[in-house]
Amino acid sequence: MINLKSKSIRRPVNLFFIEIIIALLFFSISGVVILKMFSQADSKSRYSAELENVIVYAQSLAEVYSECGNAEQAAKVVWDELTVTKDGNCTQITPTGEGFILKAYEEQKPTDAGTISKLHMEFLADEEEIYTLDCSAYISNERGEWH
Amino acid sequence: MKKNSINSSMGVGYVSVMIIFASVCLTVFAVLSYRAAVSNDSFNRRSGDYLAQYYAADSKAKEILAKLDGMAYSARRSGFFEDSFEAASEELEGISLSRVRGGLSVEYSVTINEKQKLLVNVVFLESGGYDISLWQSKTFSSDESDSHINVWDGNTL
Repeated sequence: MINLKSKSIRRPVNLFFIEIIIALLFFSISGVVILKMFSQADSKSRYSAELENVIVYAQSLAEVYSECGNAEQAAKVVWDELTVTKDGNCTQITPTGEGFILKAYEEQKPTDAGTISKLHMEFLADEEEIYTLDCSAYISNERGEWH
Repeated sequence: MKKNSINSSMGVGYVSVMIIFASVCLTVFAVLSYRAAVSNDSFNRRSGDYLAQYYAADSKAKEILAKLDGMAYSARRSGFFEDSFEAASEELEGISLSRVRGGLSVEYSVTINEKQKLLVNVVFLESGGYDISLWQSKTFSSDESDSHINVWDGNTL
């Protein structure tokens, strides 16, 4: 009689623990998938924010470059603090406080009435290329005017 | 007594429901944040691609400007600025010239992409130099008749 009573109490408790184990197993598996998704979203948004930042700087540099025709000078207008190193036709610009470096390749071609300069910009973060942009400048000997 | 209290406060199935609810909520948040990140990323990529296309067209336009400036420079030296410049510019395609006071107005366009063009208008002055009056991207439609809405013109009743 006593044995029967104890069996009837134990059964739902056992079921409860079995349910908890199954639920925790399910939660841990789904948790792994969800965390993976969150981490991917986080890395994507970080990369996206960096790309957005770089695009704005690239546009600013291209606009300043089209007026002066010199990459180093243009970079000094865009960033207050930077480090410039030159290696052949490559100018490496490292702006202070930014998480990227800029490799600028310049090519200047004199024409009859002025100089046409071409600039290839490569933005790198952790040795990985984020964005590239080509732009140019034409500096006339008889300076043109914009209206 | 203890076992009875567990049984009464947390019934079988309650934990499963809570875990499933939590998993669904977390999955929804994860999917939403991932989709937001992906759409933001694709927007930035498109923005970057457009910028590259614009500056490629800008570079082409500057090359044409450099050629025209060279022609204008030679034309000034010849003494017959307008005639020499007109003759020299014939070798360049897609350029329209018009005579204005003090020089020649040159108009040309460079394609940025299938929807946009970079329009340029430069006045080359006989006295030297040039004035850029237009350097602007403009959206155009490949078939303008499609965008025209046939509305009543107000003339006929």
